[in-house]
Amino acid sequence: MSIKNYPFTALVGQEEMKLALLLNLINPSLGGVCITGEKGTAKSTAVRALANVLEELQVVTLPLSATEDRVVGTLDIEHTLKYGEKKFEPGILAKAHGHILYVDEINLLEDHIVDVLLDAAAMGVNTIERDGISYSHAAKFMLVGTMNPEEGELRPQLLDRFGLSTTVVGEKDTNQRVEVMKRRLEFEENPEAFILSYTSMEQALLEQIQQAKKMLLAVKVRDEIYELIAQLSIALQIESHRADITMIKAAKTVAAFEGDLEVTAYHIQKVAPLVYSHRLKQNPFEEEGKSLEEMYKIIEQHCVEGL
Amino acid sequence: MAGLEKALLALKLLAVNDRLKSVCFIGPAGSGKSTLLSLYPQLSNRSRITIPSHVTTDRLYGSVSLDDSIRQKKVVYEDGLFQKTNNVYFLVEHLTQFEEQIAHEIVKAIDQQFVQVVRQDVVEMCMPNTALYTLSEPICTLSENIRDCIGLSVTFTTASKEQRIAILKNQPLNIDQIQQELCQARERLPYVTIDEMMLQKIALKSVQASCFSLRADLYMVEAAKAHAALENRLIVIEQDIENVAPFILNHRTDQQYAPAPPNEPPQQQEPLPQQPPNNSNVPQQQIEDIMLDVDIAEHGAISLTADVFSNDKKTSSGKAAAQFTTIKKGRQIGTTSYKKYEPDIDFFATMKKAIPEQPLFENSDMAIIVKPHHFVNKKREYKKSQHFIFVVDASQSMHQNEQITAVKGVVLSLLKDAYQKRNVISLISMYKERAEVLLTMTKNIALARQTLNKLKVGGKTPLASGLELSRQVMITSNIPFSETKLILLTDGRANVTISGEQHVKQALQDSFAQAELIKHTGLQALVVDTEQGKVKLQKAQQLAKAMQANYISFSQFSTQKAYQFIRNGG
Repeated sequence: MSIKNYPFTALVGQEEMKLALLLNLINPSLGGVCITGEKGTAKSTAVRALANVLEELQVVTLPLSATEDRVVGTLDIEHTLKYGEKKFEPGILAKAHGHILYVDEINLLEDHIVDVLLDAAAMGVNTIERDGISYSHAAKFMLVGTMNPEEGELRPQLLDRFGLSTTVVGEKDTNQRVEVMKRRLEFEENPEAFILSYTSMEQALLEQIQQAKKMLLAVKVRDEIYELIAQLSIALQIESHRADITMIKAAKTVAAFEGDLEVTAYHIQKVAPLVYSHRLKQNPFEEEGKSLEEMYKIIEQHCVEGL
Repeated sequence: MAGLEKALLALKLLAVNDRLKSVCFIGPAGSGKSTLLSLYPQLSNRSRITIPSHVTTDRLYGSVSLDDSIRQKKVVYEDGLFQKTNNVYFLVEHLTQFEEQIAHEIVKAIDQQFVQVVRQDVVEMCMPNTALYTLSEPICTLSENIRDCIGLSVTFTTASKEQRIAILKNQPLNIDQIQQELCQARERLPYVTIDEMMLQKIALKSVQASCFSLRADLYMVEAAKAHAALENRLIVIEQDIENVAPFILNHRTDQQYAPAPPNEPPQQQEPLPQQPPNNSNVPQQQIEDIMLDVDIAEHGAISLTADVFSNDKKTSSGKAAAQFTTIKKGRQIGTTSYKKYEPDIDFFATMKKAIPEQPLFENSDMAIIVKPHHFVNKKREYKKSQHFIFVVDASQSMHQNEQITAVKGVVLSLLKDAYQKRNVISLISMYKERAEVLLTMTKNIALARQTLNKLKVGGKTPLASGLELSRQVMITSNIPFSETKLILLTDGRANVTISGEQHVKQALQDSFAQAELIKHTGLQALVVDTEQGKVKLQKAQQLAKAMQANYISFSQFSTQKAYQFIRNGG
């Protein structure tokens, strides 16, 4: 049964989320995206659509109730039975190698499984020491997690390990909502024709991604930019060095995506919200939105000076 | 009959348009949910698959088939419930009793019509069908994400006498006629169109109900189309949208304490709550007991909860109770090594472990040989009880704006939740010179209800004494502090010292000292600020800081918020 996926370029709005996903696609070493947001904001649709852009890419979904052995892999009973020797039966991490690993509601996942996921995502390797098996295999995948903070937070140390994050909010503009409905109706009526009408845009995006992948190594970073990033991190009171490193990587990636050979303050401004928003210090007495607003303000101040 | 007719309409819409995916009936037992649900196989020409609340992922996604594996001496997989897609629908009763993760997976699978089964080298996709859910608790017991994935919902209210008579007198439904109607509507559906103006109306409806999920819009489009098809039309008109919008928005909007929000489904038959006697002319200092005679059951949004309580537990949860008795000590969450003196064998895992060694026993005439070293024990998760302590400011100021009534509603509905989840509740009232413990670690709903109805309101605010008592309750209970949650409802305007003297400055100092002590216990607390009026002293907010508690103002407070706090502490 084949499932027709909605084209990525046909998604209305949610630019920040789309950017975060695309950057990770170009540069998987960014360390995944955590999409925080309300329900019904096209999170899943966007991830599936993204996989469609690159033909060889699949979305592997991790069920919330997945047990550890299903995630990391276990003993292959059939093989053991037939040939009398132990064999490793790959788990979901192996399936996700080279693809997108999608975890809906990652905050509801058992903590130890989140640990396993983030370990593998960071190292690109999955190591198994269980059920009498000692084995390791490559597990390079793009981790995309979604969560609704109203249902419980992910522990900050786990959040920090996500490279980028973005917060999506429900569309409040009725015209935009109508546009969403129109496209969706059109899609459901005749998926083939709808996808066809977006083929040229999808193709253009694909070429842009491939071009960016090639350019990535050539992008230069001047010393002022390093300084700007350090200043930003200090201004936002962020302790994690992972943030700084991710900033550089993300800024280079966005430069490559836009066809620039040098990182500028403009690129920094573009990616800073994605890198910093989940690393801000949480103050339980203040509304979260306020500190996000402050973050945007500080980023703007620094980056405009930098220009 | 309005309620039941609405519910029937929702079923018909689903039967006409598969894209609506699911219908949820919310209401106390005996409100006619099951009767209507039993009609669905005839309406949809599909057969039913029931998913019980103790379902495991093995059965949902399919797993190793034990008998075939033993017979064929190799691993054979069998299909799970999700793979049975041929002309069936799922019936999921008592959705709240499912493990939250499983509930998520079921609801998501139905909503997305898509499931991924990772097994050996194949990644299979299957398309689950439509589903019917039932809930006997208020909708806010479900998380927002789960709610959003439900297509339509109908809230049942307990029928009045007139309605009951009407139901009894009512002619049995003419199924043949309905089937014919549905059949025609199904044929018409692909040709039904909706213009941009109607789409605008739909978007506006969602936004006005502050329901920003795009799913609401998409479901509303499909429901409106199905409605038009049922009405013999090929164009969606405003009437269609008006009729179906309550189904879509019912479970997606937060039900606050405000009387019937505009999108409340019209089946709310109960009269609007009477305004309680206006007490604004009672002098602030008058220490006169005022008994509240406003029955919680009459109170709009809370009525459902109250109705659930009034039902006889024995008749209401026959099935639910049986589901719980199958669990000996908590839920199995995995396997662990076998312990000789605590045998709790996981049969399935034991077999799985034995299968690889079967070639060694080739000459045996047994189907399978299990040796002691194959034994695997179940690993169970035993949910510890949680303890909720409510400290309620019952001073004169709480009587204004029916705050105390809302508080009672919240306490009651939380108590019901606690009952199901084996949690306990304590209640401390701050009233006159000294606080008083009204309930200690109880699960007894009837008692709590009585106590709450008799809760006296008036007088000063002995805040320090209330906090001290709450700490005593915590210490004397056998539940660890990490499993204890404190919910403090107050305006923070303490005016009685810990020893019962009237001295505002000292009273505040005492309260903060107590708050400090509570902070050191490390328990999670929520302060609900009930401060009213133009001049705000923000004492409650300061108190929350001193206690390191979460803080919320009363206007934002709702049962939903309380559940959120209780589920995940903030």
